[in-house]
Amino acid sequence: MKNTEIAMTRNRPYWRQALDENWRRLRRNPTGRSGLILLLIFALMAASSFIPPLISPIYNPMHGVDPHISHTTGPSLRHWLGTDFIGRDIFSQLLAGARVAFMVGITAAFMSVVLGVAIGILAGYAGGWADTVLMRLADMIMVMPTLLVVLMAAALFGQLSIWTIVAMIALFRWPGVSRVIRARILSLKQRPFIEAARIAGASHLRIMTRHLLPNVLPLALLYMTFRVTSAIIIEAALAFLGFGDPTTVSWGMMLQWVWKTGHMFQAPYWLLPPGICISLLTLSFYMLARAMDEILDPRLRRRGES
Amino acid sequence: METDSRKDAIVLAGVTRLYRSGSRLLTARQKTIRALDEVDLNIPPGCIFGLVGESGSGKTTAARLMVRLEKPDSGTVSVLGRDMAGLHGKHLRRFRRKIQMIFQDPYQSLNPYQSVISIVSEPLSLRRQMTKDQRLDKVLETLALVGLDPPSTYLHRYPHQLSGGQRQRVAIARAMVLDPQVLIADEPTSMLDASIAVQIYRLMLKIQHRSKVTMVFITHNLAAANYLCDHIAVIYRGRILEIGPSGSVINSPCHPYTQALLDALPRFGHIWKERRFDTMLDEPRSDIPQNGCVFYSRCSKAEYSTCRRQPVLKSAGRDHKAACFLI
Repeated sequence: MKNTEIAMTRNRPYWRQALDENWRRLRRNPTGRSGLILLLIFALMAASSFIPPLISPIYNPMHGVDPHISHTTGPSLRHWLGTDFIGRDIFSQLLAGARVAFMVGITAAFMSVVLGVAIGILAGYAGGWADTVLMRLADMIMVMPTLLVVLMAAALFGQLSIWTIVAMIALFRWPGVSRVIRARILSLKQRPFIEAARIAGASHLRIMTRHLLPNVLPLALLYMTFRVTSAIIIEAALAFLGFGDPTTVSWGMMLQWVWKTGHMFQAPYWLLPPGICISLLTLSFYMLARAMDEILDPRLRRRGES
Repeated sequence: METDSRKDAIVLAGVTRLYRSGSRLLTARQKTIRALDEVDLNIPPGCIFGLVGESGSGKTTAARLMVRLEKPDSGTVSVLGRDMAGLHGKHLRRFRRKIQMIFQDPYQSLNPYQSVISIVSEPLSLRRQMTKDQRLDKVLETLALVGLDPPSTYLHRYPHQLSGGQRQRVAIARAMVLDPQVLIADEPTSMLDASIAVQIYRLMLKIQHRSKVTMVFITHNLAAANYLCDHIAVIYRGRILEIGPSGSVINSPCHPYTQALLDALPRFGHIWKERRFDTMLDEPRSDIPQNGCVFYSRCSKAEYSTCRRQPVLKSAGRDHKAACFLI
């Protein structure tokens, strides 16, 4: 066999095999499966959010005002979930809100996990004063209530855009991730394969990226899923309190409009959908994360499961 | 071994390594363990040198010092004529390629996320002097050398798809792929079945025969050391108690501790003449002198008056030395 042919006959990489197997376990896990199904529904909602404005401009979630309606109305055939106080369609707002929630949740979680993993690996691998400095910094940020800090920033600098909010959530939610990653790195770096890499002449950067990072990626993915939940909740709370981005329609924003226009007890068709959506979406991410936790940590696996 | 120390592959001169156990703010007392205590050792090039001792005797520490995973607290470690303490950064990385190591546990020494080809070719790719095809050729050649045959079927496997013996062969291939001048094997068979261990011993002999690499073989098993090694040093509590050509150390052991280790070997039938030394006390002594012989507490031949001092290595035959007052 020629060398080029040998290079062709490759197995699937280990991470692919592990991913496939864990994916199978996830689908068999009842919590994981319910989480996935719920998530799929919301993903469909987010994906179809661009359809209503195409049907008619009155279904635009932000600017589409029904010319015949100037106040909030209940569900009808024309507006499935009714309209808000200036005649915008609540259903299309709900769909747009799903898209925003995914966007905010996933980007904020991704950014905070990237930051947390990088700092965790650095602190755990370097040790010594770098570890001390980074972990004290993490402790300081960890005890700051994210919502309060973002609220104060909003009060100081005026309206924040949705991406500023995302960046701030990421900036204040990495310490938990980096603590966990650092702990894992501390045990990994004692393993002989790291020492073997050092003896082979690998640089510190190479050891961190090629040897340590792949071993903490599953853990990072798990924490990302947990972080999505908290990012969505923080954004919703911020929007409800009136400090959200006024140019985007999020579920928190819809709740704020209900409250601000005094329809909390008059328009359940307007109040309930965004509230239920926030709860269910965070619940689905949480269930997914719980199931992943169970799969990645064999001690949490129930007996009889493989 | 009165050889020119500049020609020796590895020289340990007065090496001491201390481990301090957790002294923190609130725990006042600090315990210091002398893993290696003023060890002098010359390892000639091109031979298999056995370092034998029980667990905790400092043999693994010696190995880690030789590849500079650790630094000595005092004394110098020179490999191939270079003082390891003076090497840093890029120079250290470059120099390390000449000194490779095989680890004890093949389940821990291979990255689970790397395939065999990526494990074995990593040391080569760090050198950036070969093309991809040359690297692949070298990897295949090395895999064949360590007995993974046919090598191409192993390339894309992952550690969890290999048996313990196969993993250890991959680890040996990773160490040998750079054609090192020194290979340090830290109990390479302690996690393997006896039958696999013999295969690994044969492989190491074959490799040494072919490449003339200087091999340091660390083990707790005197029989294995006898089978493999040209020279043996017996180490106990961080001190070398006996050193010499393996035939001489095994056939006429001088130190009571070496004799006790030979007593401890299991015997089936009468391959060797039945001989017992009975130098190991069942109950350790309690009147341990400060700075006395490290084996005093368990030695049946020791007397307090002579053994309360530190014995030095004395000649006990051709190239054969032992640290005991009784010879």
